[in-house]
Amino acid sequence: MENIIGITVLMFFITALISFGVAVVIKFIAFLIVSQKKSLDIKYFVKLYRLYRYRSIWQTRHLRKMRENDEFEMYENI
Amino acid sequence: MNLRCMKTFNFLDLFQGIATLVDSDITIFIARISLMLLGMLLVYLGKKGVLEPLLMVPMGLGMAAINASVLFLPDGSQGNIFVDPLVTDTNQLMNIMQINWLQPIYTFTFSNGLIACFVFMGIGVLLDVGYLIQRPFTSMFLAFFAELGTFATIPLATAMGLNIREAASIAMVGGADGPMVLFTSLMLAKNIFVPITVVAYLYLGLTYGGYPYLIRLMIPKKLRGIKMEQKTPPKPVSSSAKLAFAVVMCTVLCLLFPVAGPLFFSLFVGVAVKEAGLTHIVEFISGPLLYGSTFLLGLLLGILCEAHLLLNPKILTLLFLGILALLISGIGGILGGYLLYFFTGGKFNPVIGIAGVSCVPSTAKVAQKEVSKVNKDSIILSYAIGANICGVITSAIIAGLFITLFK
Repeated sequence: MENIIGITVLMFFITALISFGVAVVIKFIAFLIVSQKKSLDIKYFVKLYRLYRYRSIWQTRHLRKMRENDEFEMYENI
Repeated sequence: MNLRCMKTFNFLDLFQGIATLVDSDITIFIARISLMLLGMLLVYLGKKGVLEPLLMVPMGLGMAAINASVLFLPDGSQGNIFVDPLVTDTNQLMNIMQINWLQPIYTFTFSNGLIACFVFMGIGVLLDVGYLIQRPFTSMFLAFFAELGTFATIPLATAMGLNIREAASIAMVGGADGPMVLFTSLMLAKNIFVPITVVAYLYLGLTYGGYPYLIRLMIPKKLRGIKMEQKTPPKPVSSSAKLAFAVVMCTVLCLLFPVAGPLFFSLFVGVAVKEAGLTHIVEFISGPLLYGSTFLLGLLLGILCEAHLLLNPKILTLLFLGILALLISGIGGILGGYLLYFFTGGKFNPVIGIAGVSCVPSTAKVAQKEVSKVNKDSIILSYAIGANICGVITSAIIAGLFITLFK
């Protein structure tokens, strides 16, 4: 019997913890989407795409620079 | 020739319902008559609006019909040609399915929990989670307190001789969620899942009629009329936020309790299709699927109330524990309401606490009705529905916890 009461009390606290966790998740979603709507706007993804593009431009420039310095030959030798 | 036929003719052979009644022992005789009368009473109370008519009319009629239509089977035993819930052998099941008209519905939807999931999808479509997103902590707090009956019943049930699985199944009645009780008892106590589900649904009908008295008993008139005032009006919640909520919650809860995954999925898929704007699917789920499932559920529950099946020695214990669980949960919800009343310096209406009991949307409606009787200007429905929805989620969490721990 004591064991059953122990398990029940344990389940009570686990449920309380999960309920609180669920409330926190809901609050977080509300904060993220309702209050900070702009951060998830399409512009955010546009910025990400631009960053990706800059990265490719930088890579191209870097490769060109390497070619100019004959660094490729060095790699080929290796 | 005709005269010889008349001599061997037994009047009771013609009316087998009466013949089986006369032939059975006194306990079954009284039980059958009582259940027929109870069935008629349920239909009457459903029509009057005292109990939920959607469930009580088919259930009551089913109860009266099944106890009236007992006949002698070819092997000489007594039975019916509606459904046999205790059949387990596959060959026997195939034979019975060709005779008992409700057997296919019972086997393919009821005994595997599918009908509970259908009802849950319907509930999901009807829920507006916006109220919950506006006040998650308040709603969760109330819903948690309204589960007090679920936890308090387990030790009591074990003390009364039930094993831990049976105790957990009957304790789920405290959550006041029919599909959840059906699902949990199917998973944990298949031997007594029929009486537990019948008891649960009978009592859930009573919450509508019984909880107003509990509110009036525990909360003085002055407090019942408290008007909920907000400093700033709540921000409207977009459908994207609600959809994101459904997706995240479904995934997180399925991750935590995979055994209750079908329930979580069914509830949140209802919310998701509604918020995604899938109009045709919403119309299908909230109309034919929900009402069809509820009707068949009521019908099957009534049919399962056969005297032989309900004369389980544990039925009285289950009846007592079921009502106790619901009562303690109601008291717990109101206590939660009182705590918020004190925390907010008397600005919170404690009646909202009863809506934490997850009988969607009955308890929320009961709360608003009781408040309106005292103060017509006090509108608490948005708070009550938030707590109500949280009640469903908390019940599902507890169901997941019970099944994971005790299966």
